[in-house]
Amino acid sequence: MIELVKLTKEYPGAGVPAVDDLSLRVEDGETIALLGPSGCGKSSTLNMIAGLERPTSGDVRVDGRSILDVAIEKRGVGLVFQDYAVFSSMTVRRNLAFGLEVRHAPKERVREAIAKTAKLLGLEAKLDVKASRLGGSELQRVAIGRTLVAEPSLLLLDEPLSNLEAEARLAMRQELRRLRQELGLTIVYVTHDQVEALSLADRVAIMHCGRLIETEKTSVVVERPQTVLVAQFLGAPPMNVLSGFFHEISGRLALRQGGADFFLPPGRLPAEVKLGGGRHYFCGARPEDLHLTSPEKALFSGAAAGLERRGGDSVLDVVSGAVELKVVVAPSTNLDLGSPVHLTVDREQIHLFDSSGRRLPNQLTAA
Amino acid sequence: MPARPLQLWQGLLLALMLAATLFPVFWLTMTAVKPPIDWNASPAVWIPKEPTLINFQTLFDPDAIRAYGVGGVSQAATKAVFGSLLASIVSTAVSVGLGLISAIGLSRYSTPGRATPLVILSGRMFPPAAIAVPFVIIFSLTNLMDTYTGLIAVYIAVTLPFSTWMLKSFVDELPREIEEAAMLDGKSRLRAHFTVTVPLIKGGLFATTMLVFILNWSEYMFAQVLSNTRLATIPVQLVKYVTATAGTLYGVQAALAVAAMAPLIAGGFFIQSHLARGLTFGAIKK
Amino acid sequence: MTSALQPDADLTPADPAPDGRKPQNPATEDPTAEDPTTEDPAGASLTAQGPASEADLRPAAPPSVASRPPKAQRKPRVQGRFFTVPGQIVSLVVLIMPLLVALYMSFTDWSPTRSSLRDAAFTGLDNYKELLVYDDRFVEAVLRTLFLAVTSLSLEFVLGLTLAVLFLRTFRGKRFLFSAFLTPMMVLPVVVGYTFWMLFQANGPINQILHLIGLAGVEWLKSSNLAFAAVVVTEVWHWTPLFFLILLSGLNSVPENPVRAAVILGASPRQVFWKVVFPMLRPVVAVAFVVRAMEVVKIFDEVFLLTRGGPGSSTETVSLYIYKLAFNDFQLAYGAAAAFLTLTGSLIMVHLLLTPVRDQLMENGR
Repeated sequence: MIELVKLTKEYPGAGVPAVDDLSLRVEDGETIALLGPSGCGKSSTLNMIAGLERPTSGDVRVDGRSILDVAIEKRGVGLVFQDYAVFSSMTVRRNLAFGLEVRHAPKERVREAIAKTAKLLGLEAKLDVKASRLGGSELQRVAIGRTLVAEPSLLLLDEPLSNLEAEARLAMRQELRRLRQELGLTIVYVTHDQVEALSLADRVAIMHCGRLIETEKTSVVVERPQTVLVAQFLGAPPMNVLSGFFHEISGRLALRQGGADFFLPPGRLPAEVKLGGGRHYFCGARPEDLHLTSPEKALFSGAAAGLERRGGDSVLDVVSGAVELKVVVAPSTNLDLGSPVHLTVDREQIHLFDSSGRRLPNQLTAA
Repeated sequence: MPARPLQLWQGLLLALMLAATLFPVFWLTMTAVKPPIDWNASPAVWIPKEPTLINFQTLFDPDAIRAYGVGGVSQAATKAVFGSLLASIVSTAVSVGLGLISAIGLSRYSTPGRATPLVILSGRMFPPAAIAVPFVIIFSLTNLMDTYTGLIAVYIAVTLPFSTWMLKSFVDELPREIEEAAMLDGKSRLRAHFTVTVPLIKGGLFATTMLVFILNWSEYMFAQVLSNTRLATIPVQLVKYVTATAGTLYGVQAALAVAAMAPLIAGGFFIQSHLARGLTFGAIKK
Repeated sequence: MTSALQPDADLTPADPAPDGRKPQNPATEDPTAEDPTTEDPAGASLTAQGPASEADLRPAAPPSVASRPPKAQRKPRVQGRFFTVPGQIVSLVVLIMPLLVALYMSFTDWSPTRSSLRDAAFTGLDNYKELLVYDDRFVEAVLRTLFLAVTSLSLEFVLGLTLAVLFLRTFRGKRFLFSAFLTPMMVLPVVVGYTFWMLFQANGPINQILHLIGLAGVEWLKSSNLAFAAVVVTEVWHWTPLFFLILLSGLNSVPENPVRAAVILGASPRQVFWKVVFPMLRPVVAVAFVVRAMEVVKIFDEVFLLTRGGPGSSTETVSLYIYKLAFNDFQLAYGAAAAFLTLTGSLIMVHLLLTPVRDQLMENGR
């Protein structure tokens, strides 16, 4: 088990910390994805775990003991870089052997380890090829293999797939899943790609501006985002989030944002939610959960402002005043620009957040 | 990973190497300000007690040194200084100018093969004594011996491949779109090159000019074999001082050497960032 | 590669101004006017710079024949060809012509004291044969130059690498020291030769320092071996900064992640340097060696002022020998042959030095 305790990293000259008060627990055998836009402190966090950088404050603990003063090579941590960082002047075999050879491991053991790792990663045929002649996904295998040979107790992957072509990425994703299962590795995985994070990790830790804003089981994080930031980050396109105050118009609840009203489906707001101006809330609905409907059933009406065809479906922009909603619609949908659109959504698909952006413990309930 | 500080022994090693690097320059400079009595003293004088500028004065007024009871300086270095300036400046200007045009042509319009750098290298590899031989013959036939025109022509010839190749490496780094954008604004291609491309490689142009100047200013052998009485450059004059007096005019010789060296050290300082590129024909970019 | 320096048949007749005067600069003409050279296939073979590089660059017909580009694209090409013309004319007149003359000369028995070049007897490869088979002084000069190259380049490499590695650390005044360490390269070779001649005098400072540490002073420039050592020291002083500069620039552009990966895998700093960093430096090292090796072959000024090749011929390099042949003994034809042999040797040497790293070098150059 590895624990990050109030980990903070400030670089001299930078106004804000790169990593700010980050606490996280990773259980043995667990895969956790650090997800966030680039420059949000993910890589710094990995570097601190690996020992390449020293935290300004906070601690990294393995099984309860601090490893801050443990030398890099003794931490039992393996790190795979985004650019693979394979030793290009060496053959695949030398690359795989590197971690053992520099520690003067017995030859027999090196040979066994190479054979085993090469088999695991399907590199047997390439063992005597110079690394500079390999392609992207092969380099990735070598980089992972080189790390696995040293038998790390924790594997750190820094954007391991982002330099790969789409097809290779898909294959590698499967490969990583298989490795994880076969070897029972503990993995901390950094990515800016939510699909990658969601498909590989047991839990997702979402970072924003150096802070950890949410850690949640992968299965839960999309369905019940705990913060507006996460809601607006996950999904393609991400959740529509409106901000404003709730009020009642002839018995119907509505959220007013910038002069436009978004009516809620029939139901009751949690008791702690107050109506009226000055009380600020966020209200969200996923583009997949909004549906086209008839004018009389509409909760929100606006004009079609754009249609993006994506193959399997299309994304429709609906605008009314200051409110713009994205809606996932059937690929066959054909709308002229400016034609009226009427939308509805189920009560269960409404997400309510308080003024600080936290998910309200109670959501919209049946009236 | 953050760079680590020097350890003590490393600091000492660095200091030792620095001392070795600067010592010859120091010695030369000290000799240049030594009065004649310290010139060839045994044991050698490191720092003169009474430093003097008489040696520099003697360069322009050969009789000045007689006040110290030293004779034998028969010739002022004035002519050599002007000769060096004339030959270096004119040949550098022409070489860089032609080089610039060729560089743009090569970079933008033709696709030189992999071997081109080697071809340029081989031009720089030819022993200068061997290039000097045909020049002497041709110049004898055309009355160009002992003229600045002849010397300048040689300097242009030997530095042109260098300036072309170096400038090309700078032009290569600019995206073609820059000129194309200017052409869309209605400029002709030719004008686009000179109003857009050239200003963008200012730094490189300056560095190339400086390096070519250094090459020309430092050149000795061609000037030596092509000169007789009319033509003079600083290196030729320096060797004359050394050979004419069996090297006994230490102070005056050193003064000329310092005068020749000072502008290059100063100029070299400004082009440090381009030195590696210049000295490796663009193989190393920074 | 050797073909690059052989006479190119259609180059010679194109010579417009054999008197060596500065040719007219066609760039001042109206660029829209049809320039006859631009339509001339012979003109097309002149696109490259430098000594007779055309053969390598344009083995095929001019591009307009191979695949005729659309008219809009053709014009800039034509104009571009015209851009390189002034440089080519200058190179042709003042570099290639003399070289061709010298090449022709090297196959004759010409001597300026006897007859004009036109009347000289063609002796084929006699000069070359003489040099390689009978001229011990030439062969010795070649071997001496090689030995000088090996010793001074290895010392320069070791010292330059040491210095560059020291410069990876942090210390005060780094910027200033960087400039200071580059100073020797800026000094004129004649000045370097003269300065070290002073330093190596029997009553000079080097002997003084030797006395200080309890060693006896020596007559540096009067014994063969010591004079050679003096030449090596001078060369090393003058050009170690080049190795330093090149290697430091190479070290600074080594990517960080392979180094980090090696550290995480447990490599010691020494292992990181020799197993990971150094292999990435190989092309840079090769470039440094090539550039320096070429300069050693050409070395003249420093040695001329320091020892004049003496005592005896103990410090006589190829370049000095050629100079003496041509300008002391007036054996111009023979000297030219020696020069072409040297050039051929240098080209082979450069080729061998670059072969193992050519791919790596081309990748970096892009």
